[in-house]
Amino acid sequence: MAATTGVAWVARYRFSVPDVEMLFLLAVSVAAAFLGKRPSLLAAALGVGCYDFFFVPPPFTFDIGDARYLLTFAMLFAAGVVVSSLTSGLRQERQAALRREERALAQYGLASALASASSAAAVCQAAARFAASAFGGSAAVLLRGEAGTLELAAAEGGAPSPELTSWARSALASGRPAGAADGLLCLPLLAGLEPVGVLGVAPWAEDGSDAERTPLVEALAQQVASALLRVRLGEEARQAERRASAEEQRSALLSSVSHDLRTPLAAITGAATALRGDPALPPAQRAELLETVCEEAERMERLVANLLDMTRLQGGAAPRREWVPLEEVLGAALARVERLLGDRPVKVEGAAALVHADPVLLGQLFLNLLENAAKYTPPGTPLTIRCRQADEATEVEVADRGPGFGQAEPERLFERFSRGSHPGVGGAGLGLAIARAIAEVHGGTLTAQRGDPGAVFRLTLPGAGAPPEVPPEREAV
Amino acid sequence: MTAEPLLLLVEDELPVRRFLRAALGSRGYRLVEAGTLREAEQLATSHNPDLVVLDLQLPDGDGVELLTRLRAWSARPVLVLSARGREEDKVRALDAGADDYLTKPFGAEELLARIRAALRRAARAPGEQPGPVLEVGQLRIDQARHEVQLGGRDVKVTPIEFKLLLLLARNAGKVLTHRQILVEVWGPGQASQTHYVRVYMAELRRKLEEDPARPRLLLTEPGVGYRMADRPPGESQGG
Repeated sequence: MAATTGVAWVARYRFSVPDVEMLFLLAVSVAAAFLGKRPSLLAAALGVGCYDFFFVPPPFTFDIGDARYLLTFAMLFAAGVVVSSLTSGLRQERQAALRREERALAQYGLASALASASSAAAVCQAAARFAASAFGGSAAVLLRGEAGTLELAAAEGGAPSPELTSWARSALASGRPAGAADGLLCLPLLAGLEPVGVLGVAPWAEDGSDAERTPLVEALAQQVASALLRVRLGEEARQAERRASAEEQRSALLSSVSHDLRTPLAAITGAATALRGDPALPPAQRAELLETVCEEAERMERLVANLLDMTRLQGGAAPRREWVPLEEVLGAALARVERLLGDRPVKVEGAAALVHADPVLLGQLFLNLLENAAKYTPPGTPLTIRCRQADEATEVEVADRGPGFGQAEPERLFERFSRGSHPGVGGAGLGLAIARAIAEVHGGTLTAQRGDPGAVFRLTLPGAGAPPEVPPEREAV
Repeated sequence: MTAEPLLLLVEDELPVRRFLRAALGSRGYRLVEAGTLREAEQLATSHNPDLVVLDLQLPDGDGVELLTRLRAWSARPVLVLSARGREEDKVRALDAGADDYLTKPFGAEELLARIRAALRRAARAPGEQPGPVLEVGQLRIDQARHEVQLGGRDVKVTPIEFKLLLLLARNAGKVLTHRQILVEVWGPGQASQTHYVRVYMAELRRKLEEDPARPRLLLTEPGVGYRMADRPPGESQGG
């Protein structure tokens, strides 16, 4: 206003511009357009004051010589008020539009996060994050557990207060919003008519500034509830499918295995009854029959052990992971196949690496690979076991230099009851299927490739971070 | 003179008992048999056998219970029999004081070898002062000087490695669980830090084994623990 007064002063007394009030009108309008409501009213009042003091005769007083100037004052002030209220209305609308857009974007983000969430935990996480950012406080999603208790599924902006938890319980029980008394909101999540959980938001003013957000938060609760319902139905369908396929696999396993069990049993029964029936058998024949009994019993034992492993792995038993050097696991497996491997030289490279795996299961995996190599390669063929460790994965390759698997598709090796085409090789063809199942329960893979020559089995285990520290030790004795 | 060792067989399945009776009786062992925990406890108290062969799954309870009660008054060796895939049973039994275990099914030779080894260990354990030097196969441990030699060659080991090696050597032939080793070497507070043992065993194997991936001396019992191969002093570690 001081600048305007200066400019007007110069204009009036240097250039004899007659209507300096127009300059004040301009200044008041500009102030109203760019400043808030109060500053623009102040500017209008100041403008009127300055105009009066400096320009209205008699100058340098607030006295008004001519009553017509009162009209000018009124118009100046009115212009300021009108322009400022117009622009501030516009500004508010623009801000509201921006907010709406932001919210719509966030809601769109939430909708896509909910749609792609494949677990209840992911749904709750997305909902809590959205609620906390949309309502500018903390938010939590609690789900009803097996026993009807509420369990925290996700929280954003700090852990939920005990009040929130207790209001959530009553919201779940009543199926109605609760928590107003403590300045927070607990909305039940209704999947159909059944409350499956609670969305909690804090702080929340029931009839204050948060009232306009009520439809939004209700829509959110509805969205989350239906996402949870979708996830649950999907999980149930998958479980039913798994059960059905496990059942199918079990019966397939049983029917094909009964044959494999009967063959050694027949041999044992035959040999034992022959021994009992004829005490006068020549010693050589007796020895042969006894050998049959022992060998066939061993074969049965291997088969039963394999079957047990298979059912246990299919039953979804979780591996008991420990940090263990590959060398130790490989060493134990090698010791068990020592007799079977005979004179095949075995070279082990890079096995000092630690892996996070179930040592017993992993040992079984290597044992099966080594047994396989012993069965299908001629005596004396060398075996190489190479281990490589990187951050993201550990790789172990078991390579033989035997005949390989010919024309067979490598993947077929891992099917149950698939046996190599070599005559006289026993076993139920479960070894590689079990090895692969073990790799899979560890989140890894087991594949077969053609070597040059021979076969290469490659185990890949996902990385599990850095192994835990072992306290250091200094001096040597 | 010394009578033949008396064995107590605790096994409820008759075919297995028949086999044990045949395999052990023919080798000159004297036998008493029990099919339940109760019978076994009575026989153990009345006969004080030299060794117990104990099946872990008995009709009236868990063999480990009997083992625990037995250990309250007897240090005689106990050999447990358990089914395959039940590593946790074996660990429990060993932690409760069993000397060794066999996984069913097992052959007669294997059983006889384990019984002989357990009786031999029991015979030398009490009162016998082995002196400052311990020898297992090619391995020589001088406890007084904290020195380790393998085949006449000096091997440098750290204090923890020494403790670990000494523990295994004193129990040569016997399985030690991860837990037993941790408690002895690192102290009771560290009983769950299985990977300590594994890392130190790997280091010892690098120092003492020709091929650490095919150990001849420091053997792994998968899922259970470790065992030092028991060999008479001076015998080489060949396969």
